[in-house]
Amino acid sequence: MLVNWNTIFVVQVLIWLIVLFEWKRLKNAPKADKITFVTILILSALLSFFQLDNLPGPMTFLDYIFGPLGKIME
Amino acid sequence: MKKSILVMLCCCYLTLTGCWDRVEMQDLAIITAAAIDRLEDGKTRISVQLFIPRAITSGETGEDPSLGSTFVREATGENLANAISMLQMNVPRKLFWGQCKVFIFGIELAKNGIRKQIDYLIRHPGPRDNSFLYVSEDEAKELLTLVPPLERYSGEALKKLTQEEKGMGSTLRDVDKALMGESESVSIPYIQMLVSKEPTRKLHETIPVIEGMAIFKKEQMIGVLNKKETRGLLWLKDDMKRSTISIKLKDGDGEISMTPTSGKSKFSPEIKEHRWIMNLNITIEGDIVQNETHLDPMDKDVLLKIEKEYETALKERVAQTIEKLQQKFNADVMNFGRRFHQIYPNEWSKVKDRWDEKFPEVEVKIMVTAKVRRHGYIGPPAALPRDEVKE
Amino acid sequence: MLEKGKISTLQMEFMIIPAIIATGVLSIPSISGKYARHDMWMTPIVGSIIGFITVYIVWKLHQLFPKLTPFQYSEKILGKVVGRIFSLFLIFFFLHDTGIVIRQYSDFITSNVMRETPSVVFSISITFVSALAVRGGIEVIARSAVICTTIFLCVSLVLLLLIKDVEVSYMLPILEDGLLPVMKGALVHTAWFSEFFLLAFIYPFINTRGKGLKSGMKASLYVMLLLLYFHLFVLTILEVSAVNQLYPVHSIIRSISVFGFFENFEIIITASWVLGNFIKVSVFLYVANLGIAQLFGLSNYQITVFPLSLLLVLLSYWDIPNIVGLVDFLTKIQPFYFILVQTVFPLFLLIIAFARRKRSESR
Repeated sequence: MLVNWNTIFVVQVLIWLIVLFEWKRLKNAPKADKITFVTILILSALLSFFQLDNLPGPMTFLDYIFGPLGKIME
Repeated sequence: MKKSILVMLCCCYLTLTGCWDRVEMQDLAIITAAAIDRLEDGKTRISVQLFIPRAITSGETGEDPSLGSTFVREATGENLANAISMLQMNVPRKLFWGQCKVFIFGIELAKNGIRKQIDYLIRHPGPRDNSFLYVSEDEAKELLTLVPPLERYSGEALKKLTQEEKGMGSTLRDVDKALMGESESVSIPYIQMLVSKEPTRKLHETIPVIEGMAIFKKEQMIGVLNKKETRGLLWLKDDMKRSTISIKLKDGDGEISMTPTSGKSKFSPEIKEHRWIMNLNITIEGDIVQNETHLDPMDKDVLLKIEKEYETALKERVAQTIEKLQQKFNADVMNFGRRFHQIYPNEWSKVKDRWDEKFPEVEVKIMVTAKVRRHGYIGPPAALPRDEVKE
Repeated sequence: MLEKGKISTLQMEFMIIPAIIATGVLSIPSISGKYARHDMWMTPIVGSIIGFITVYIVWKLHQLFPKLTPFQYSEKILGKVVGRIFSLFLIFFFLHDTGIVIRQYSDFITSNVMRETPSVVFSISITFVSALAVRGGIEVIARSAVICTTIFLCVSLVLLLLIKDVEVSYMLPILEDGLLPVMKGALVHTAWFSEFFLLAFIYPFINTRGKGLKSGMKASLYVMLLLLYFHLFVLTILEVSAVNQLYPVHSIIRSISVFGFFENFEIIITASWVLGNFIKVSVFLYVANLGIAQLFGLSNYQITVFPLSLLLVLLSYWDIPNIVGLVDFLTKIQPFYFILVQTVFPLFLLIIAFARRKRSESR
């Protein structure tokens, strides 16, 4: 799979900007806050490694579930 | 606090620059009119009239006015999109379509079909939906090179001519709507160069004028209505101003002319025992502008007679146009199909696929009510001894 | 209590109207027109029924649990485990939905206004601005909504300049092919009207008790009237050629010309739609964010706003290859999906809650 370095770079920059911006708040935050914060950022970083446009995801899944229902709209 | 402001400023600089779409006035080539022709080898040629901004500002400094404030560039390609991209290579600035309100199709192109060109114009975000379309009698490009004596450029002259008579013009959207609608027919003004006979004017110092209406059916031009029939079409389109009608009375010795001031036409379709009838009610009010006869229109009986005569004259004209559209062209330019569809959806669905055969069979019943409202400054005929006036 | 702000019912209406209509006015008319054609003006009226039903369900749930959001009361109704799974699902639903909203918005701007700017610029900028509003809390969103919605609605009045071009006869024939096409067109609307479920997250923060139902219904009515207004103009000006346009409202505004002098109104209306979308994204982001904070027991909800916004921008591109895929989703999947999650699920919650209450009373 082709990796888009631009996207990865921009997302990394944004992630570190966010960390920098929230640093003060993050330092004194409880553990649950820190974990959620980091998890969401890791998720975003993970997503940035894929070719998002064509990566099968929620749309494909929903299409699978509701596809038969969608037929009545034709 | 200071830090957060700094971060915000950084983000603003990153996101708000928007340089991709930055366009300066001096980077734009403003198109005022465009002409599309089909060449003999099947290629498409686009010619555009480009505006020279400098010519307007320094108009009084003794520049030769006959040079005009525009110039014409052209390019050819396999299709319109191709031709326009070639054209861009011949113009140092970015082509700007936003001000282009006039598109002229050459007759060759019109006869071959305009759908592909319309698709480009509607799809592309530059040209506006309410720009006017024309068909030229000859090569469309010629008309762009004309230098009108009164207006700044020929595109503007054409636009003003059309705006004066609203029913005359066909906008891009009208054409798209009509060709995809029930009737699949549309009328587009047919223009040609006005030949000026002034000896002091050069041949190109003139304007294009509307000579009639080109009738299109399923994207192809199939014929032209002449000036008189075009008038008839205008009555049908609710736009009857500026067209004077003259009538001849039986016992009169000349003609009486009237300019309509207001008028309305109403279509009411009707299906009676498998006969499709279109009832057409035209009401018209007008002023008498010239009276060649010896009759005194101030007289009640005479006035009644005049009105009656107008009614028959108008009826005749409209009937002529309709007859030609029905029998000769078989093109439903007045949207009879849509009107039947709206009132009789069930019957319509039966003939929908063979409307071509049905349309010439539609009976048209025309009812005209004419009213003379004013007589101008004088009542009885002018410059006529009082005792010669007939009453 | 994570959210200390309180808003009035009027502010709530100002928040919820653009939260539904902002993308609706972009996408609905061309899709509903495809099915209902001459009758497209009826579709918002039929579709709004779902809106009224959703508001009622949400209000009943709110009466049972006056101070809680669905993330909290689903735990009480469904039990701890199932309730938490449901809340997690709701959060994903809102995140994905916000992603689609951002995608619709950025696609619209890049294809109509700034054609050479990459769409990511618009998705990042709108989420960034919304994130700032969300960090401020519900009061900040409500106050900016009052300003933005007022501008949004006032600018919508420019359509009245088109009144001279209106051809009322385009509305005929009425119900040519029966009711089915209208129902199909209305189904497209129901996806948007079911978004009134958002009220469930706003109700707990209203300062006057007992007025929520009335103002929710009013908001639903206003949304219906606004959509009707846009549909009527689109239909009477473009007729069925509206079907071919991707953004019919935008294209009729392009043709406004007052005396050949005032033109290019589309820029003003686009700017106002940006404001509307800002409110829409803010409300959605706020709800998703509040859900995460409540579900994972965070000490405040501000901290996750920026990470979530970043995730949203990425989500807006995930699995949507092009506008065809997007329109296809809006037409065939979204109506069923949205009604299921935002109207049917709350209805189940309500029924279970009532059943439980009955049982505990009878004991």
